[in-house]
Amino acid sequence: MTKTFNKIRYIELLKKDQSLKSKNSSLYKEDRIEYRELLSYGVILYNQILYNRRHYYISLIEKYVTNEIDSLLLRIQFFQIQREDKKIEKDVEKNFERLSNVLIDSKSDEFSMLITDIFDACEALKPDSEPEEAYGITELRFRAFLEKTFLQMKNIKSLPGSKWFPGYFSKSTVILSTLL
Amino acid sequence: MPFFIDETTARKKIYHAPDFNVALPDNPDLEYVKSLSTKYRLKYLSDQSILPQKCVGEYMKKLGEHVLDPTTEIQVGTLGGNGATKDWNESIPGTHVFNSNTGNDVFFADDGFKFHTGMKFNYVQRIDLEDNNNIL
Repeated sequence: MTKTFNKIRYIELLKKDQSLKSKNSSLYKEDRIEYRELLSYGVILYNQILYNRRHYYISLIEKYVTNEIDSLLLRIQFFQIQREDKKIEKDVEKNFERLSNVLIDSKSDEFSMLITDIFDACEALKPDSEPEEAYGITELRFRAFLEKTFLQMKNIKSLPGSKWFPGYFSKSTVILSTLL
Repeated sequence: MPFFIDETTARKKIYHAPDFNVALPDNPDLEYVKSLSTKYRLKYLSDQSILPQKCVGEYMKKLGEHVLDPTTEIQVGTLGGNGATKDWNESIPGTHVFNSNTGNDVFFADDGFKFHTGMKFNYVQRIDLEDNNNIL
């Protein structure tokens, strides 16, 4: 993975991809090495967006570990936040001026790895009624994993919230958050 | 290669339906859901009148359209390779049906070519698929 966030190159690749898409093609189809490079910059931006919005994740996981919500509601909300993160990323990628002003926090990588683990755990969670050998983890293991990850999330020292990606929530999530 | 999308699995993975532009039903009874125990919440949300057949059917239809889309590519791979490193379980061999334009992927397990999950990838998952033919 490219660790250096070369914004000039990132924007160059985004422009190239957009240009190809306007001709019914894409970097994915034309040049897999450059496509892979574009993905690597996308990951860095995405990690920063996750980190800027970390309080939403921490708050949600806390609700689960304190039994305020169950695993089903956790997953519905978790994937909703993820969708919003992806939408923010798409918006930033379309706005090159905004993209060129993005700063990357060194802790964003560490935090996003925890979110990736939670995503994987949410997908792997299986009902207790499923056989032992079936793919996935039980609710018991899921809970233990989330409790451990929650502590790790809190231990990542927080910095003041970012001014580049202010809180961004759809109406539905606000309603869900209010209700839950 | 025949792929199978069953309603039970689609219902289980319904939280990914918005990735395929299928709206989850507005649920005016979330307060009621909160008042139920976990066991009854799951039963409640399995009720077809709560999570209607129409919504699940629409998700299944969109999954099918994704598979049939000529710009979608088929790629042999696995699901759960990263979970396997955490000792969660063995990864599942199967087939990714990925569309680079939408970023959506549907995974079918080799065992019966049955639908396992379908969602829009983030960049981390796209890289995992690109480098390792794996997700999760």
